[in-house]
Amino acid sequence: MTTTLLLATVATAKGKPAACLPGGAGGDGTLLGRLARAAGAYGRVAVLTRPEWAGRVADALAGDAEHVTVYTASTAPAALRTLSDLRADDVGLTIAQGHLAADDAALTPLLDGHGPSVVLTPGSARPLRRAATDDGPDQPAGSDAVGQPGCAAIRTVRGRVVGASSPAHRLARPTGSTVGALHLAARDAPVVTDAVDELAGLLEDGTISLREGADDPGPATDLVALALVAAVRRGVQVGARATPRKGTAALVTSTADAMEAVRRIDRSDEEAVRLDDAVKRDDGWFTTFLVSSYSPIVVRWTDRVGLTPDAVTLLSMLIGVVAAIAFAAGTDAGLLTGAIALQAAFLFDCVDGQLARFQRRFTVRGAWLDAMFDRGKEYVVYGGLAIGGIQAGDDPSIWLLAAGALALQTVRHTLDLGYAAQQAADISRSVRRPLEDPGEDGPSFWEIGHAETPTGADGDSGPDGAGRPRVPLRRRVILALRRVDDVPGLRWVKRIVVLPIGERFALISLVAVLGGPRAVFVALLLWGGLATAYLAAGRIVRSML
Amino acid sequence: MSDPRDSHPDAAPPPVPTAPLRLDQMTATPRHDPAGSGAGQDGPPRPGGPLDPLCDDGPLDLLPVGATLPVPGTVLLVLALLVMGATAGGWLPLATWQGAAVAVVLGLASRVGRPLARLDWLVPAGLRALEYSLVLLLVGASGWSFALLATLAVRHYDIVYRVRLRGTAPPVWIGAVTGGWFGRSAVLVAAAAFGPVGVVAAVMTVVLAPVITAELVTSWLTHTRES
Repeated sequence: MTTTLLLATVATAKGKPAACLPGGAGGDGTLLGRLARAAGAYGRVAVLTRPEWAGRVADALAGDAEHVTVYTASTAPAALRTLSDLRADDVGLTIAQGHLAADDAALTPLLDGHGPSVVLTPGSARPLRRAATDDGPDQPAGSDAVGQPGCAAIRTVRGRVVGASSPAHRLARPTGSTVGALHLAARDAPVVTDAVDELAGLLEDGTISLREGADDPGPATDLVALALVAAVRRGVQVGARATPRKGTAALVTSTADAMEAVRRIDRSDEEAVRLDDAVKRDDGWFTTFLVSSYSPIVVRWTDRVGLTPDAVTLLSMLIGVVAAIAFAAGTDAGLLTGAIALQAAFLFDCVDGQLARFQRRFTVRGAWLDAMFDRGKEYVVYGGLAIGGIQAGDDPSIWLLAAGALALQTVRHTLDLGYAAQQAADISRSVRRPLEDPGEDGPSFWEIGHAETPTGADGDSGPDGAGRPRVPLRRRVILALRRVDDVPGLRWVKRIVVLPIGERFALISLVAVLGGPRAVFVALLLWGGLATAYLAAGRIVRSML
Repeated sequence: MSDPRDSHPDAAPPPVPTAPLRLDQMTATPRHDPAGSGAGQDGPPRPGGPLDPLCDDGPLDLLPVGATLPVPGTVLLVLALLVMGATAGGWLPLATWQGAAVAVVLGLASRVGRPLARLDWLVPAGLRALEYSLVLLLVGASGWSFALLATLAVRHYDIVYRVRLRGTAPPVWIGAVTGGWFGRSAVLVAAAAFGPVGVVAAVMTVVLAPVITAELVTSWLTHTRES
């Protein structure tokens, strides 16, 4: 159950509530009604609006949604307090602008609320990674959307929001924007509502003030942006979730825009959008080009047949065991069968995650099962290969190679995890800062983990030399390493060199057929060792600089 | 269920006390940490600090000893790995089991060394490398070394995924019962000193595998379906 707060406070050019623009299917109904209906399926819905619009909003809702509570507020602090008084239900709290025109594929991840806190960003063709490391201001794609009422500029590092702008806070070097929809996971919501309450107090005191100009310093104050800033500054981990590539999510403030958006939504095939969105775009080379290119067909098929993601995970493991048994026979036919079965197992391994995203059926247990069986498949195959080698007459030292390959993989994964934890903690430490600090919000990429930690409690202002790194050498080295990425194709080469799971399984299948079990282990140890050394060296250097 | 040592000294106290432990809350060490200024935590910080669940210290977890040596723990761990490598290569004038014993003692020392902010993320991987290479070195080319490592891998991966997905580390008792990296390594070194290391490895595998699997399965079966 997710509690949703919809904000109907922004006005069109004519002074009417933007949320009451036409938005239902075919142009009937309103944007607000559509959102309220969608959100109503997941829990309580509340609408916040200006006192003078209360009647109009109630009319807009009457047809589409019952049991919606309408709140009114005539000043910004009052609006903030309405938000902070909402108790999050057991899954979470979603805040969205009422004039958001979005299809279900974009909305449901924010409404059904399983998963971490996220803010919705406009879809973009290319991730804006490099923007985070460059000097000076960057205009993110779609920045013309920023400045639209309800859009906040954000800065993200590795997919996590580390800074946001709001009517009371400035942001330098934005790397993206939002479309005015924020979801808070259940465990984060109390933190944020507390912080929002504190913000309301600060506004009433006059300690902070809202910017004059684009935002009406009153009830139309962008609550989503303020809540986002509050969340980020309290150290809440908020991810940036992009609108699905073929989906629609846009803030509209004129009838023409609204009709256009509704036409787009009506035309799109929701299932196709969801399917496209379910495939991860940042996987390894082998996975992206040789598996995910046709896995959507398999995803659709498993969905039609009625399989659950957990069932597909089990199927994948079963096929993996079959591959191991085939390898254990030690014959050439066995090796060939095993190699093919291993690829089939990997296909279903990719499909189970994609199916879970497509059906929006995430369970923690399912994720755990997927992860454990990934490792289980791989190591059972190692065992099968070793047995097969012995059967074919090899000497027992092959066990040493097999065990060595297993040990190497485990050490490599532990390195990955340790480093990820370190990075996440560094970011968490850097983002905490006081709510009353109005400017230059958010640490820059360079400051994370290396500048002086802002001492939140004392109310010190941000890091020294806003953005100037303490050690110029570090920036030079990292920028030089990043320039390597500019060489076309080299990014993919780097991804292959690190031997992710797709490449590993492909390697095992290929070498098993061409060279036999011992050769597989030698290849895994050599390439895996190289990959581990490369990754570890890079990370050690980056940690020490 | 969260370990009191997991609270990070210079961060604000977790606002929701019952929130599950998150990956980003498992910091490596406090950054400016002149010799164990872990004031406010239970016990001084250790290298790998709140990444402790991943370190699988087992019974060592029950001892309240923390950073006591002036040398960074991570450095001692690297030294331990070098000693292990040198023993494997036969470059030390020590018997295999003796070299392994020295490495294990250095590893133990590393757990009470000074935290080293920048590189402590290496500690869990280092302990894994230490223990696994010890098994490979002492038990050698036999199916049981593979089986033992596979069993340990199940436990270690479960720790990782349980923390990452559910925010809780496995209960302390399972760590104590399975011996932790130190307990298991010590047993194997002792066995190698007297001879029957292969048998001991086999027994360890056969005993640990059901225990680990049973705890894992029951823990996940009792876990509620939705997070």
